[in-house]
Amino acid sequence: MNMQAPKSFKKADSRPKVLGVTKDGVKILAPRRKATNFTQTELREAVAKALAKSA
Amino acid sequence: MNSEDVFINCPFSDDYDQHFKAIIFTVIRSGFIPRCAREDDDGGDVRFEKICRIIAESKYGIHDISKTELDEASGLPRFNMPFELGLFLGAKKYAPEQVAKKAIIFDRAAYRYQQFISDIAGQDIHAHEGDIRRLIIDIAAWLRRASRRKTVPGGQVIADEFDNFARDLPIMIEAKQLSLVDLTYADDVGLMTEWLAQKNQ
Repeated sequence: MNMQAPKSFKKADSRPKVLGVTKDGVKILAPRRKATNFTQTELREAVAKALAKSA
Repeated sequence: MNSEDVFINCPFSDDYDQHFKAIIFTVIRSGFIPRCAREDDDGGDVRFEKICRIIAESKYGIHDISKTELDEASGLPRFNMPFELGLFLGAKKYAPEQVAKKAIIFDRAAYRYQQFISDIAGQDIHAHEGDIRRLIIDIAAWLRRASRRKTVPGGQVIADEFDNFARDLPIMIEAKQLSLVDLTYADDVGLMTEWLAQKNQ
């Protein structure tokens, strides 16, 4: 019996984009799916605003 | 199969929402990418096919079967989590290219699983007792061990950062005039990823 996974599941490995590296050396990787209610620019601005407020 | 992808198999209920978000946060903070059945909520994919595809693409799996209990309205058990756990373990068992898969299983109490799914004895099973901090600590330790990545930080640090993220979240969604219930899974992942990328630089 052929036990290989169906071809439809054999997607090529995609190298994820690194969005940042933490001080302790962890790579923060881009999600596989985009946000629903935010553009990338809106995400960046929303986080920057929150971090500035809480600093 | 992607060595950065972590399949999250857990309840999608209001009383588990903070646990779910803590798992997502821990995965991202540890240097991995969370995957789950909620990532494509467009209804254009048959759910079973979508789950099989995500499982096939994920090297790691975090499974929480703590909500396997009788539904008050129907009197029937909620069985999606044990089902998806079975799919994950089956993929690892039968597909040669999936043999490197690694799984951690959570329940709310030690050995409770023996009463309803005793066949999983011998797997890596943890009891979180409903404690989010304990869940984060165990996942971080497991990811460090399973991936052999020494960079995965300690769970206490991640738990503290998760509390800070939760504190900042209302400010982040303020400009979009959204409330917490408006956020989708993809929004949560996007906000956590961006917050961690900016916070820790």
